[in-house]
Amino acid sequence: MTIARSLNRALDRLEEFFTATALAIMTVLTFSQVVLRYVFDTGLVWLLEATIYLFSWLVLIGISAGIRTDSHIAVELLTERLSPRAQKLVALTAVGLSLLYAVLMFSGSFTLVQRLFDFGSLAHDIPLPRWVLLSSLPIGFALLGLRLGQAALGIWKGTRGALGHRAEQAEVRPEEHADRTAGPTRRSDEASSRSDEEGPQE
Amino acid sequence: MTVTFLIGSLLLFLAMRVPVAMSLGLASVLTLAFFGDQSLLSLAQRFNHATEVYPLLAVPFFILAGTFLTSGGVARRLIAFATAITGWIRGGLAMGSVLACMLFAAVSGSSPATVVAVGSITIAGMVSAGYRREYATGVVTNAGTLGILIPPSIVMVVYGAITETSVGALFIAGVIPGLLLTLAMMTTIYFRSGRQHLPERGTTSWRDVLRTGREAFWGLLLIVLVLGGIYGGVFTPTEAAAVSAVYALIVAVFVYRDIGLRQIPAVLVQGARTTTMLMFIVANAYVFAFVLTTEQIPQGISQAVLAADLPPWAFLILVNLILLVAGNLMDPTSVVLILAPIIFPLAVGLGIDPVHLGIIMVVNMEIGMVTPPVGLNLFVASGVSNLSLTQVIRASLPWLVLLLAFLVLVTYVPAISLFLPELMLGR
Repeated sequence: MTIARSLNRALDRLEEFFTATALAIMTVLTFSQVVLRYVFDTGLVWLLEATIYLFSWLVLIGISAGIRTDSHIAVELLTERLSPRAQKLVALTAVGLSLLYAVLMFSGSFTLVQRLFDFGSLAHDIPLPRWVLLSSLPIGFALLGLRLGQAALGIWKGTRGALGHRAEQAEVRPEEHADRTAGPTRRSDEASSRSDEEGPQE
Repeated sequence: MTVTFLIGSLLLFLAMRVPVAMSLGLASVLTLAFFGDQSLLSLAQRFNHATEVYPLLAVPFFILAGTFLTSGGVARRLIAFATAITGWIRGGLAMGSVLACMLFAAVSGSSPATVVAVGSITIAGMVSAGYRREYATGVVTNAGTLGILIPPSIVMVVYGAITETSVGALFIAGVIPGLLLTLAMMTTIYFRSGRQHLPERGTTSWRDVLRTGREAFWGLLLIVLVLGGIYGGVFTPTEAAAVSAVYALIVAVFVYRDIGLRQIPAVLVQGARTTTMLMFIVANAYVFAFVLTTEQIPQGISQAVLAADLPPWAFLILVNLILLVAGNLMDPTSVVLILAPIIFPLAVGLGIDPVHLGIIMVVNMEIGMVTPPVGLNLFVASGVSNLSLTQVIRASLPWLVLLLAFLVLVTYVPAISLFLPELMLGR
């Protein structure tokens, strides 16, 4: 149990580290394209392709992290008037439906990667096979399935609420949260491990 | 039948609190499984397509830039500058808050972010100057909606991507409506300042304006850099977004020194999280749009609408009503992503300009943000102002009249949106 828990925590950290790093690299790559064009009068084609694949990885690894931190927006207006028992039932059904989604998308993307593997097609400008680059999809959906399974267990045991970010929780202000985590009093590693309420920003 | 199943299952999943992204995806997958002949593989490909659309790459960068700007002191300095400009007029602090929202909107692409950045400073400022807290909150809640109208705007990026409309043209088109709405709000404050018993304020001198302007210089320069860069053809909106993210980091960390190097990872984590949340919806919306097209659903609806022989003005009323209702129930990005693929082909068929339709959608979304039950600005403002949600709703209600009048104006005077893009791009 403790091994499972520490593995779980390692996964949390890894997800966060991975997505933040991907975002940083994407920004630097796109920025350097502008610099290369205007300062050095040249361009590198692989920069754009690399950015696009990083984006895919950022999003797909981030999805499962979003289940853990409850940052996916959901419409909660109708369920909150139900009795607690009914709410739990609906919440479990919702996780079940989400799980169905994850399974179907996993199977689709797994076939996609398999097909790419068989064809052995390479990326345009990056010297890597396409199936490696696009394995973000099956990995992402598998992780999503794992997190949804954990969420279902949590709802069953009553240790967590239904899926999805509730807009009302935005009382803890979305931006100010970033403000606080970035505040001078807070150590960044401790801040980045904070993972509860955030509001959506449009 | 297919339409009924697709829309019906989508609504059912949403009602059961399945997150919006997965509701969209699952409804699409199931529809194809029962009625279509597309494989799961093509859906996975479609899903990943969202991360391959070049304009959408702007989303993470604008989000990151916004996070840096808010946590760094750029917002604070822009506010000081704005209130120095209007400080000598009665109701000047409230007008300054509107002006500050406009300035911040020109560096950030999000409305709730604008409310937080400006509201967390100006509401307290107005209250201590003698304004009623409700009034102060109402002003910022509504002026904050400028965030998605004045470029850059994340909602415009998303609309442009899914309808294949030029994001640059949309950005330019938002400038005049944005300035107009700012002006309308400031004038309203001015002419109602007596009735509202707004406090007089001491004079601010030209020297104050100059001093605060100099301090806000780096923030103001970003506006010039981003907008000038896009319109001057120096870089694409996506590159502009990346440049402003790097710029915002440099200003926050090295110029103003509001953020330390060690806090950067936390900002990145936050930015990545918001990006994923938005992009997960976008990717599933691509799957949804794919199902719509393969099942020829827009064509079906479009035949029904054409059969009804609606003139464009009546069609636009219908569009506005649908958007207003949807905007009340969901967040702007989801609404645009779900409805744009359906409305867009109809509108274009009736001769409505894609860019004009984009601005109409954005203004509708602004209204959705300040109306219950799902008004993001209301929730955020309630947090910033320490007022209850009901108080915030009541405080921002009078402004709804102005916003609705503005919507009518923007809907029926296309020139407001199209004049500038036509002038600058010769469209």
